[in-house]
Amino acid sequence: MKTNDGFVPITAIFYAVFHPIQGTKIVHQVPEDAIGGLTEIEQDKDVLFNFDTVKNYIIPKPHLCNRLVSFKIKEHKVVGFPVNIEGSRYARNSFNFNFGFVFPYSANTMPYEAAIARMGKMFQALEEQSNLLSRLDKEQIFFSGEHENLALGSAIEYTPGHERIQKILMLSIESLIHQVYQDLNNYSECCIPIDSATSVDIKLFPVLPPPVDLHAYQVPVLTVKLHLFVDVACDPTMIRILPYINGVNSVRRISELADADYSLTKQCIQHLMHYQCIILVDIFQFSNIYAPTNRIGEFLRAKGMAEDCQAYVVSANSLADFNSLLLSSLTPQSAATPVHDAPSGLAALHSRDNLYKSNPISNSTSAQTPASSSPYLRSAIGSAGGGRGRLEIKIPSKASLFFLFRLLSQGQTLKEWYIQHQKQLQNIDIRRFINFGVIRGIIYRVHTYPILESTTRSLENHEPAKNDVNRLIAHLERGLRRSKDQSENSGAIKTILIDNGDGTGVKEKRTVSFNYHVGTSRRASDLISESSLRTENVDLDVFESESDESDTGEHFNTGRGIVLSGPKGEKLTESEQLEDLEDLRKLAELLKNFQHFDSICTELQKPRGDVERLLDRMGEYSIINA
Amino acid sequence: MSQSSRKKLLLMGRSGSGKSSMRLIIFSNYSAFDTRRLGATIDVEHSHLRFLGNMTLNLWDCGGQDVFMDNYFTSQKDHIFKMVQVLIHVFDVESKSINKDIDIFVKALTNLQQFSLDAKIFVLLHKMDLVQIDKRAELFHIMMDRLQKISNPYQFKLVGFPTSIWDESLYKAWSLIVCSLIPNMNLFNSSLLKLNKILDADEIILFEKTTFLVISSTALIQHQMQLQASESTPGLPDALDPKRFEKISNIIKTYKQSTSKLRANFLNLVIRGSNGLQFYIDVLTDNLFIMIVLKSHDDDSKFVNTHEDLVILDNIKAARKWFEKIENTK
Amino acid sequence: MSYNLPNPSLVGLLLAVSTHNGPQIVYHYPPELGNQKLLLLNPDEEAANDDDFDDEDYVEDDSKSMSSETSATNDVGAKFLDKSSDLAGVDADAGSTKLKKLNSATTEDFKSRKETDSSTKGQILGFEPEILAEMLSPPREMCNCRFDIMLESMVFLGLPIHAQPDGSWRPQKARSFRTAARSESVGHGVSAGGSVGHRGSVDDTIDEEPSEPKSQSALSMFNLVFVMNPPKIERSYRTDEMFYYVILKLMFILRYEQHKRNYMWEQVKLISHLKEEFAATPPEDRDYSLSSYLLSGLLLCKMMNHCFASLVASRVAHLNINNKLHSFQIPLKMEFHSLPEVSTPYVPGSYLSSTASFLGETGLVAIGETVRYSGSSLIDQVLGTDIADEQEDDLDEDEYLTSSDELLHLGLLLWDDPETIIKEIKAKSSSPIATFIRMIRPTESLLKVYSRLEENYEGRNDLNISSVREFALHLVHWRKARMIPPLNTRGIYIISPMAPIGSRFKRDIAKFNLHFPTIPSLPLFLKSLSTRSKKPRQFATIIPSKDHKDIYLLALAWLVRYGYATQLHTYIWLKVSRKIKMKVEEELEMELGKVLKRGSKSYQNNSEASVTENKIQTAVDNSSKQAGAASAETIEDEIDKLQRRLENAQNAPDIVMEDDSDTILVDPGRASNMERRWINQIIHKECELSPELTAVFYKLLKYMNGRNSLELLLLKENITRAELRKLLLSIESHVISVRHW
Repeated sequence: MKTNDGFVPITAIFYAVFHPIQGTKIVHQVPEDAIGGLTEIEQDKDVLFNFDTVKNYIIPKPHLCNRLVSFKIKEHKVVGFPVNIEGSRYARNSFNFNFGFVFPYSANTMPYEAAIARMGKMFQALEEQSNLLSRLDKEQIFFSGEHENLALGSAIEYTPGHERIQKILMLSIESLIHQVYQDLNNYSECCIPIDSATSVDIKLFPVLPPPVDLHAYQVPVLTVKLHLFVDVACDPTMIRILPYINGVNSVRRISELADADYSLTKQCIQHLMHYQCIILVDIFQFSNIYAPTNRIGEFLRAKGMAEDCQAYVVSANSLADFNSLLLSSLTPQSAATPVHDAPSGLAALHSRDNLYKSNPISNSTSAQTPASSSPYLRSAIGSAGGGRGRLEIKIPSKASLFFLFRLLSQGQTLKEWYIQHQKQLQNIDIRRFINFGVIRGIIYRVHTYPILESTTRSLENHEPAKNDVNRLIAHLERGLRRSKDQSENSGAIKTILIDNGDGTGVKEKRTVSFNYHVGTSRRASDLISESSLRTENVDLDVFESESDESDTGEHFNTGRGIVLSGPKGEKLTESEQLEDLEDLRKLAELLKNFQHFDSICTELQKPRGDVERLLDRMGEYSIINA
Repeated sequence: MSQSSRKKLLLMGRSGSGKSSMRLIIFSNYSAFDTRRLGATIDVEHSHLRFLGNMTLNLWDCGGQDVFMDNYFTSQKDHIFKMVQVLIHVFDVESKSINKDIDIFVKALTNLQQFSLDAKIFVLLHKMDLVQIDKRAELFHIMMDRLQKISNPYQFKLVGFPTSIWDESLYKAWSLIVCSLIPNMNLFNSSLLKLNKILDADEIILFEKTTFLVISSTALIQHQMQLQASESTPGLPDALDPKRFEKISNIIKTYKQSTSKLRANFLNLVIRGSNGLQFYIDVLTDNLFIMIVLKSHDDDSKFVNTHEDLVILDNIKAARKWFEKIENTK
Repeated sequence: MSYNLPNPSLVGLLLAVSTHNGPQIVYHYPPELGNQKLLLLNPDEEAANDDDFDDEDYVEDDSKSMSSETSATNDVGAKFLDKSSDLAGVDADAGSTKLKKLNSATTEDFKSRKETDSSTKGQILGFEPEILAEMLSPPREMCNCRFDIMLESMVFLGLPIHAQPDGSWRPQKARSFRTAARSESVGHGVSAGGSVGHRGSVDDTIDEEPSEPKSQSALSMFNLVFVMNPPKIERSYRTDEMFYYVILKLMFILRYEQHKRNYMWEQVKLISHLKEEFAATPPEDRDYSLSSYLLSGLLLCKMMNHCFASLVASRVAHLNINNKLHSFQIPLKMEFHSLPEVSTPYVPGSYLSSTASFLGETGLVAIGETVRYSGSSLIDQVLGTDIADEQEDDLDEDEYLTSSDELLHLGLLLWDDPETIIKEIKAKSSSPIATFIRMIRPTESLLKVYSRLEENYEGRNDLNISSVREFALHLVHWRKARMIPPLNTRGIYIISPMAPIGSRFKRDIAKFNLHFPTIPSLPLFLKSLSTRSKKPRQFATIIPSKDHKDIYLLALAWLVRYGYATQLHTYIWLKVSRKIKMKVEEELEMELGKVLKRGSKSYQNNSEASVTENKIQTAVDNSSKQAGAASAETIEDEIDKLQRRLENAQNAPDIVMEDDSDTILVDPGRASNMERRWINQIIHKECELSPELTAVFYKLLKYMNGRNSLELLLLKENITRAELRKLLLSIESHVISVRHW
């Protein structure tokens, strides 16, 4: 039982005071007679609980007052902010009151608590200024005889034109709590004027868990079209970084591209995470390894997942090719037309996702599906009449998608997987395919940790890990001499990935929204084609190395070397040597904390190939996939 | 929780009758003025007060508002009225609704009868200062008779006092209330007399240290013994102000406060009266102050006096162990 | 922070009792509580709330508090993660260090004067002891059920036990005494109060002998209060944990002791006696603090201290209550069946395996959550752990008939060597559980262990199968062992995605080397497990030679025990190819003589059918079937719509569904007619299985739903590997297999 906004409705509200003769009593409550035990008779009437039992928790001794106090009684929880105001003007030198909110005990009352405390404090202030509450009693019971008129006097001087207001107030606490009760339960907010100056103004906010701190190498993916909400009021850093949150750039990279301060960027992204506007994935590389989780079965079972996947991964490849022809002719304003009013089938298709509002992930699909496809469509429609050959977009079948997921496995890089299944992958945007799997938790990223022999040894012999840094530096000399032999055709992909980022960046500054998605997907696509081109000639040696079981480590290097870039293998100049020295030191640190490649690469801001070259020079190391 | 030493005192009466005020004046060194600023007591205010070393006064100051009262007599009654040694019922003399006060009093008696038969009951007619002096005695007797009549059916013997926080009457009442709880009272008395014989002082008075309530004094004892003892020691009670003890309590206490403000600890005090009277106030035990009044027989030089002072103080030190023994007898 | 990490957030323990002398705090631990002031939620939030009331600001400070909380929780998390000790996460003082000081509340001069004379007693959490005592001894109506008061963010949690007017402490009397309304609430209450009522009745059955000494004690109520300061977001979860796992059980034991032997009252009297003694001795010749003085003498105080210390350290608390040993713990979440999300922290060394879900069903093992804060409430698990508690007190057969027999096919991996465990659980070395513990091998399923027990002790074996299961669960529950699929050189092991590389690696490298000096270092060993450019291999392949087998298995056990390795299992589905379907259709046509419209659509529908089929079992009513179909339809429609749209636009490209050539049977156990036909087609026409293989096939058919691991099936349905391999080979083209843990 929740209000439409997911807040637990209030069971009852009451206003209690400490009456100098009668003692603690409820003055008003809503709903009427919710709380019993005020008089003997009510004992057996069915009431929430017996007020008499808890009166000392509702108006406690002064020491406990003026703070948020909540307690359990029967199956209910009462949250209140008992206020105790001292003052010689009062009959017993003090005035105590409390607005008590009753909830079911199991309820999560956190959203209310701050509001209740604020309400208490506000009425405390009002009472102190103008005896707003104490004045309400007809026979002024709360005031000590000599101060009585003073009390009223003070009221007059504090609230100008108070007669009118006071008239309202005479009956208002009752109506006030009534309205609070109604409004909060129906609209989860209320704004009720008290007098000319003040009003009870409550809005409930869900209390979300604090975000964990994220890592430089993680990649945020938007789950909502944030760029639609951006306005001048937004945090400047947020505005800066937003364009670069495209599901490709790592946090570090985003801060570089946007040239925003890293820690600020991180905070912004944490906030986005806090409000569930983004999900984190890992950097997409063809050197990554993915494997199915125990939830892969859900792809077949879970309602709608397969459909989502089909809709999400449909390859931008052919689209992009087609698009590339159009993009030139595409006029700015048409480009600028926001995505959502593009009447495209796929847009309609993703709109279905609103069914799973609760699930941010499906939102993510909705966020990106149209972005990639609709511009193409619009342009297609726009360019009606221009005679062009029909081309065909195949939407991969569920079964085939499932096969592809299950075929991922530990100890097989994405590239190897891709090479083996190119045919099935033709219509599939691999990055999206993988992201979908990871986000839905049906596959997971297998991280790769390089571990130095030297570190291990020193740990085993309990030496201070320090001296293996020196060892490394020693290594370096030898390392420099042993000039590295990087295969010529290296790095295409990495470099493409990079200027892809820039490209989007530039595009982003010019136009709005979705457009960069086209960019990415396009890049992603010809990136794929790139690799597929080169894979032809790679295939052989991959399979060769496949055949020999012996030294996985070194074969691994070649395997990577191909996919990942590095400066072409000419001799290193002095300066390079120096910075290498620097890098080595950094690297040594990272290695001591057993970082995996993603984080090492982002820290050193080097492509993996380089890092591995450095590693080679630091001596024996073993690679662990976990 | 050795039950013997714990005394449970209920402090009851309608709201605003001045229960908390008197409690704080007697036990927490409040001045009468401080009490103006007190807030109402919410439900029961428990205070555990060590008194004469091994005794703990367990004072229940019961808030007088109607809801609380109703509770005491219904759901909480076993909790409140079990094992009560003393009920101190406070009446506000200028209360508007006497009948309601009495009604509560009756309820209290009924419960006491049920839960602790052997409780002593004291009735304080409070705020006497608001009544004209000449009317006070009369009013007091009328009230007491009426209350006694009411309580007769419950076989309770009432002891009543007219009290006010503005004079020593409060101290008088509480001294007697407290003394009624002290098990080995006569031990104190007898040894006090012994001491008196040795010093042959005009008067010796014992005060409780924190509250400065009078525990015992030669004069009082003699006053009680006057029946058999016809010849009377110098300084007949009637010759002196009957309220002197309480006055002294009052004075010394304020004095103690002022010293404590100076961060100084009150140890002993010697006053030399112009009429040759000399007062010695000194710590007797951890819980007792003693006050000795001497009439100096010869008007000698200071030297003798100062010497005498030392002698007296030594005597007091000597007496200390005796009284400590008494205190620690349970 | 997350529910996966233990966070007792316990600040201290207070013992409040109420006698005819009024309520009082008899004892509190740790002593530091004396100096602590009650802390406010969060300074800046306070500040912001004070003056301005508009939402803007509100969001602001809420986020502010968030960020500050992040840091706070993070370092707590961090503190936990880098603890070197295995499972005893946070060290004992963590709780007290968590306490923040608050600059003292403003005190009016006369109040402060009041303090001067009560200063001898000293404050607790910045309150007069009297005030706390009154707050913590509620009226009878609030007693004998959960008690929960919160000041600012400080929670006072307890279960006050109130004597009955007749002085006895028996609960059901209590109910008879209550007025109609109240007993009603206690009787069928669903939440805390109710469950307590229920638990209470369970408790009554425990104390059987009717004659109890009516305690004439002055004690009318005692309340052992747990003061907690949990992070805002985790409040209800942490308090529930504390209440159901510890307070509930502890208090019922205490009530029992009070009821039978007036234990609490005797202890309370002793304590206050010692206190007076202490007060009597002049300060100069005290060489000890009050608490240490009390500790010297008193079971109850010892118990409270020990309880606090071990709970704060998230260890198991073995408490001596009136010379009987009772154990309490807030279970650690170290078993996961699914991988937690990236941002979700977990206890390093946690174990990942689908088999964890069996354990979850027993309610004895807390299963880790994949998201940081799941909405799931504790109660259901708790009802489970109540049973656990029974089993702990007096082993009770039929408690377990419900829990699945899967467990018996799992093996036990002890977390320590048998003898030390036997010592730790204080079992006699001749006791059945001891013999059982000695028998355990990580390579053998419980059944195997049991049968070995049978052999060794035939005749005088007083262990039956169900008690074996109980012992096993007992060991798992009390953190002495982990349930795993029996280790096997034929099994495929990978490095667990949850392996504590980074958090524990430093320490473990050395440790591993210590245990297994003769075999490669931990990194190398792991490297050999993480094969490259080929699917993971059987463990056997990395064992250099026969005589290395045992040591390697031990090493593997070590890896599993510390969460580095987990086993890959094989799960299979039946795949119906287009070819089969067409064949079946032809048959149908012949039978019906009626021509079905052919075309991708129909296959589509078939595949949908199989999808919708399983909707039924998930949902209760068939309406969901339509729903499922509908959703399936909607997508078709949309695709079509899309197509039509595109047709309109001239020479726009076509969007075509790649036709669903294959259908994967989600749950062959409940196959539809069509599906059955397909299956028959496969096994008889396509693969011509031999009768015995057919038998095997049907035996396994219901497991071909991607939910049951073949490795376990081998144990469960005692099928030989050979048979299975033959079967799989012969129907190879019709099965899809997936490998995961």
